[in-house]
Amino acid sequence: MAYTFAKYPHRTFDTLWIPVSVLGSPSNTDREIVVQTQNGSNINAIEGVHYKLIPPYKMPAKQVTTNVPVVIYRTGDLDSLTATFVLNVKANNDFELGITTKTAIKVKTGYLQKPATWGELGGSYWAGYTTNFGTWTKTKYKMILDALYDPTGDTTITEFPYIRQAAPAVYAQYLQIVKNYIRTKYPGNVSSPLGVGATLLDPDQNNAYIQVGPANY
Amino acid sequence: MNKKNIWNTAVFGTLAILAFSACKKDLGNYSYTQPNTITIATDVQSVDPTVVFSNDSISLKQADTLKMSVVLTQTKPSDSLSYQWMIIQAAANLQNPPLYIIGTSKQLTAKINLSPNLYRLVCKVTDNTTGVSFYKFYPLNVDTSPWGNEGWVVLQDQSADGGCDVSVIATRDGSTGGTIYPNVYSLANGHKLPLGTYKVNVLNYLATLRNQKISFFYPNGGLQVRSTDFADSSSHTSWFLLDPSTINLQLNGVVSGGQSEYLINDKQLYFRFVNSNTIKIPPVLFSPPLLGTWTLAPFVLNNAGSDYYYTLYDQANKCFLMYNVQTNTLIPTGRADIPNSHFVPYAGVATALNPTTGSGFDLNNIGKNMVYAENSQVQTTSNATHSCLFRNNTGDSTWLYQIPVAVAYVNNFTTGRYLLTSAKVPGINTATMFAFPTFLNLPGKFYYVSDNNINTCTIGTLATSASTVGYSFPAGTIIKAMKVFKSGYTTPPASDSKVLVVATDETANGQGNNVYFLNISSTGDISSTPIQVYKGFDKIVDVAFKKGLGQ
Repeated sequence: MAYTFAKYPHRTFDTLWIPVSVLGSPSNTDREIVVQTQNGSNINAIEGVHYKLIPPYKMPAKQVTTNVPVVIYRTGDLDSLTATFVLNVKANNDFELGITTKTAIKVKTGYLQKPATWGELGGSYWAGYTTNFGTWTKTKYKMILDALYDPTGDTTITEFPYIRQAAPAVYAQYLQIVKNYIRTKYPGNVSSPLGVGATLLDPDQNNAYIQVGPANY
Repeated sequence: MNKKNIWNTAVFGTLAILAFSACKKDLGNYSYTQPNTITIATDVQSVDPTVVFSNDSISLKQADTLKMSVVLTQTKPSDSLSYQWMIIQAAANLQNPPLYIIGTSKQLTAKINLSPNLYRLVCKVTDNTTGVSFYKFYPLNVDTSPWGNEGWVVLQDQSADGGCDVSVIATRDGSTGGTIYPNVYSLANGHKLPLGTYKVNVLNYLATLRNQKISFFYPNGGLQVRSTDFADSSSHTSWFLLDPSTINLQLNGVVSGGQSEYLINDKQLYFRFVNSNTIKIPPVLFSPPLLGTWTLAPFVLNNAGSDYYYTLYDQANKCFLMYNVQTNTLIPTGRADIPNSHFVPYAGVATALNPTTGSGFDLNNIGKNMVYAENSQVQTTSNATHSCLFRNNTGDSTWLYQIPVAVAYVNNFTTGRYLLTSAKVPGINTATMFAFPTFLNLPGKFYYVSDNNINTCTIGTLATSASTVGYSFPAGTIIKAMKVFKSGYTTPPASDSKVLVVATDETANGQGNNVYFLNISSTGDISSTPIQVYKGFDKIVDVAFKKGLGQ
């Protein structure tokens, strides 16, 4: 299971609902489900920092499926890493383990990771192309996520077309939304001379003024 | 303890249903009788043979009233019959009309208010004693109503009825036809246009698309109707990718036969492309506003073939700019968005910019307020010239600029600027209504409204332009709208651009509200005898020509 806070840029934490199913008949009473974390070399998420279990978990009476909540946090280090943790169910007085390969789940959470379809300045990918967003940086990407944020759906646009040519028209409109966002919120980024009014500089790019459509870097 | 297996993915379940059945030999002795069989035929004596053809096909126009009756032949006559008339889809892959039961008696009388298309009319007769039904199917062709084809759309204020409505004069130039179809909007929708509706727009996309847009603007909103019957189609709340915070709709247009549709709302430009590709994935939404250093005048200058190059005017900084909405960039691309500097510095001779002895102009520095713009040549011509009227801030001086609209400007115009003095062009400094023909050699002539007169201005170099009264209405007449007939047809008719259509309010003289069709001569003068005058309207707000589809 993968989750990115990029899709929900206004959330600082969220709740994942892990599906759990029972093989067998339902019971007339609630039954406890024990969930525990695994350790391992490929696990870097810290319980209580990147995520938090909130037991007790129950399989409700007369049901064979449920979802158990796990809270995840948008920590500062998610800007530069993907936090990975593994949860598994544990046998107890109510349950024994079923199919071995289905008793654990790996969860990855992230925030400001470069989308695989971004590309490079002057390349063939839509987002990275010179006339669109240009070189990917964390600061620029975060600004784009904020600009394209839809408060109604509480989501934003995180992915862009793989191929620049014949990209759906709506992406040109997304670009315009970002241009308008910069002009409105950071007029100093497009003023003449630069710097007149509020600005947004990019520390990942020698504090350059962030400009898109066309991009200045 | 009853332990169960647990795992964390979907559970697979099976459900077995056991069906039991029993058989028993039936030894009964039955005798069967044929039920009443009904044969349905058209009562040819009571139907209009021009509507119902001999082979039981029906063809009528939208909003026509269909009258049908049937004669029945029964093998066991029943006096307990029920009838149902229905309109259903012509093919299985189409949808049924929303209201498809249109009658429940033997004789049908029903207004067919369906959109133009092919349907099937079904007559269903049920023998209530047996419950058996019999059917007759008629192919039903609903053709466009007369007001769904070409004609002049006349927007009228009907405040007494709580809104506005539309009449259509079914003529292009007043020479033929001319039946007036009143209140076609409320006929289609059952309600009036919003009170205060102030503008009607007719947009003709590529002719082969057979796609036309009619929209109306009203205070804080707009709506679009179906061009064939004026049925409500959409409102401004579904036009934009992002809803503007302010709705102040000022302009909606497209070059006839073009695809780059523009809309100016609250002094900002929005656009969308309507073509064979985009209409496959509706809705085709307007872009976010193209924000920049500009505050736009409500005019877009462009031409066919390159209609995505918009020459625009920044009313705040009093300068032109050009935007390519296909690439979403200012043109030229290398220049920053700096007011009064969107184009290269003026490259003509300096003397051409002399305010009194020169006729040139610098696109970067017009220094006046744009009050009107219209094409003075057909827009199918590359670099077709547009005429723009400007006034100074104090409103006591008016200029005409004629600009060959292009996709790039050297910015070296040494001709095209004309001062219209109130001494020689009386009333020009307060005029609000203008119209430009497209067939005259430039600089040509144009028309403007001054009180109850339409003046014809002959454009001359520097300050030599002069006007005369072109057509005079009785004193007290209020001229409500004026447009040169620009058909939008792929092959324009001979009268294209040679008819001036004028809407008047002559209620002060007891002459009602009228629409005049005035002939424009080959020299650009207005004939003193109208081609036709159409009477009997409510207070006219706006007029627009709607061409027939596909031409």
